[in-house]
Amino acid sequence: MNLRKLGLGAALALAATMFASTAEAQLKDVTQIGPTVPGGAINKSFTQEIGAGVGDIFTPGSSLFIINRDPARAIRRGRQIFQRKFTRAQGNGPLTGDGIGNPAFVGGDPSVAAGLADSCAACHGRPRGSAGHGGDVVTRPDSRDAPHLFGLGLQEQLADEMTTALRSIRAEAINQAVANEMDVTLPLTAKGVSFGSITAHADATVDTSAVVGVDPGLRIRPFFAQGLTISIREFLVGAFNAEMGLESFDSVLAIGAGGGDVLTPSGMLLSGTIDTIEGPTAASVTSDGDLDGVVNEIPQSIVDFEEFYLLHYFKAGTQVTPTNSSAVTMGRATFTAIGCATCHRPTFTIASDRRVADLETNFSDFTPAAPAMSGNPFNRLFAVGSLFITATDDGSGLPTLKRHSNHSFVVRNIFTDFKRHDLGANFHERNYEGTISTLFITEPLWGAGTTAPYGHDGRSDTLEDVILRHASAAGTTSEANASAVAFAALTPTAKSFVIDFLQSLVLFPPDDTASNLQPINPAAANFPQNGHGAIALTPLFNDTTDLE
Amino acid sequence: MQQAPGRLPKGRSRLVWIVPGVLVLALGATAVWRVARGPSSNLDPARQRAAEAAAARGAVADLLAKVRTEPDPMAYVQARLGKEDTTALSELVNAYAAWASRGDALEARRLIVKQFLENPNPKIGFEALLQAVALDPTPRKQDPLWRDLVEGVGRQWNAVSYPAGRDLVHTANSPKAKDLLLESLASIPAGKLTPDQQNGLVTDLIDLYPDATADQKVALDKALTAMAGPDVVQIMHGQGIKEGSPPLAAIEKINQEVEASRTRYKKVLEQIEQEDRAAKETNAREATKK
Repeated sequence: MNLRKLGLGAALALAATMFASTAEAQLKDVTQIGPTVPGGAINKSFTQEIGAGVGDIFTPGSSLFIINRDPARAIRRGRQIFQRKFTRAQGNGPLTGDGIGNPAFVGGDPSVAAGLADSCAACHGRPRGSAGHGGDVVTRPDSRDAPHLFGLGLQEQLADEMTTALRSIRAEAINQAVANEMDVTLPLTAKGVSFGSITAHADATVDTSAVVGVDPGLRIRPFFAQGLTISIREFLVGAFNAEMGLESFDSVLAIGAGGGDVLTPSGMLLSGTIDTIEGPTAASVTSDGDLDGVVNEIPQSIVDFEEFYLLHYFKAGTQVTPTNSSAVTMGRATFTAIGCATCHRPTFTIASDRRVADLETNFSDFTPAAPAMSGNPFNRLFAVGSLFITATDDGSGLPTLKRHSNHSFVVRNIFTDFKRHDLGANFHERNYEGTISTLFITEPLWGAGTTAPYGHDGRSDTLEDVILRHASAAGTTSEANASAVAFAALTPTAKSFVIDFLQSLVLFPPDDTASNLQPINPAAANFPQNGHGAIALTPLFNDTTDLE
Repeated sequence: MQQAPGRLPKGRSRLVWIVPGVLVLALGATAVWRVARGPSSNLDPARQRAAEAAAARGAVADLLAKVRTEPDPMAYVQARLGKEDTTALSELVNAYAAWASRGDALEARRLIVKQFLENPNPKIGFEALLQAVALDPTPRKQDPLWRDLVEGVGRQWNAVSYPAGRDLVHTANSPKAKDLLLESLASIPAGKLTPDQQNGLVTDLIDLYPDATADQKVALDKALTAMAGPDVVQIMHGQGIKEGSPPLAAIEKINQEVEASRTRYKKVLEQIEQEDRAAKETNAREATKK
């Protein structure tokens, strides 16, 4: 980590807040659209959300201070920014290089003319109020569906740990080859997933021709359908720009893209010395790349909150009811027996989890008589939160430092292998310039029950359609052909078991899902519009009266 | 003779010059060598890592070698019974692994297992047991204590301890420890878990099934049958789900329910149609009267 550069970034971000404060009057929040009902608007203006910039752990109101001393607030702030509808005056649009305001545009960027969103939630907004699915960002001629972001932080961490494991094997192969002065071939396996093998030579060079499912550099890139991006931070800075025309000078990404190693405030190590890191979307806090008259549109503290929020974003839930329970079990068994679980692997373990909390969301029938553990009438789900915080009093007189406890964590029901596969012509994707993308990272299936339509392009209406689509077609071979054929040969009832199982993997609206942080209160006025329970982080704030 | 403050003895004062001098020379020589060698390769760190790994393996091997020749294993264990300090625990862990090939130490090793499982702090005892099992190089199938281990660990699981075991089977690094946890979880009597926990265990056993060995699958089949019924096991074996194959009991049941529902629906439809006809006739009669 280059702390000096990080410090420079902090200073730049502090300067950034001065520019952003001019946009205050344009924000859609309680200062602009009140009075409003509880939960109906963001309680802080954008300037208040930017706060004291990046700062440090001793600067109240800064992103580093809040992330380290008031993490629940940092997560909630990230959520509110995710839901925020940005305005033109804040720099929303035009897209960089869309020909409007940028006469230097040259083609080749798939985001050109992809459509302009005014909020992260415009594309990732279903179910209500979640960082879910729902948008169609036309970055490819045959469409590209916006996936849900549930469990995003777990995906980032697993991919990163798997990368470390693969690279350790490469190092071990080199060690052995050098020590024994002969070629050494080792299987590349990370968290139970095989990525082929690697051969090291006595001169410490390596042959990666037998590596499969990942780049020769062995960096697993979990984000985007084609497995393109390493980190949440790169993903969100890129999306702010490509989908919303909001540019950010993020000094953290600048360091990584410049070939340095840097630790993000959420603890992700971006190794520019090893990997190619995507850079910030603005050259500086004063540059106006899209010529819309607004600079520093997404200050770095906002990026910090967004990254922290998405690191912690809830994993998907399960909706196994007394009615579907046995069908779901049979379906899971069938799914495994016909080989789907070979690539859609259900369980992984994170050795050192960077999150400070987890949430387990399961079916719980709506029983107003027992509100403390009851799901609500909207979705009959109940979420139980667990904290993994180690609080330390650093003697500064400030709130305690609340950091993750370096725990291991078992990720269940994720159903991916983080590998790129060729599923044949049925999944191949045309690009605007005529090339064909053939490799796609295994889509995690959590949430599959509530995310139709299916496929990276949303071209399959039903789960059955998308399963059958895994078969080989048009003279191409699908790596999943055997499972697709096995599924096709199932009896109708056995097929329905598999579908029942997949439909039990659900997303949920956090503000409408009862939890141990806010169970239902059937006695509330206007129940269930009020008092239906929520996954509320406010009770965990240092100051519960200061709402986000 | 007392030394004046701030002054070094003569011998040491010479050292003050000699030591840095040698260091400077050494660094200089290294720098010259590096420049002469050309751009750095990753050979040096590779050698260093290999050496470090070998040193770590050597340290463990030394520890095990020390205890391997212990003349009276039972006395060695008994001398440490009831001791809860980390030294005693770690000595027992090493002894368990070091005596793996000694037939005369079998009872002493059995006593070590008992000692771990009865540790007043179950977490510490359990971790020690898993560490010992991981260090023991004996293949699972040839391990004379394997059944003891599976049954002993299996007895530990109940509604309170099960969630930890459920995670441990995934987080354990050693394949042998993983196997032990898997087989012990499969041996839990269903009655010791809550219904939700039983569902969770069924789910886990299904998920872990493809990676289980043939003999482990026998244990998993037994557990799955007990908690989820025989159909799930048949499905895991690829039976009863393909077109033309004899249907599973569950499928038959569902088909019967669907058929019964259709029959009910048909009756309701007939009833509605009948009432509709009657209503039309009544309306027609009323209209004629008017």
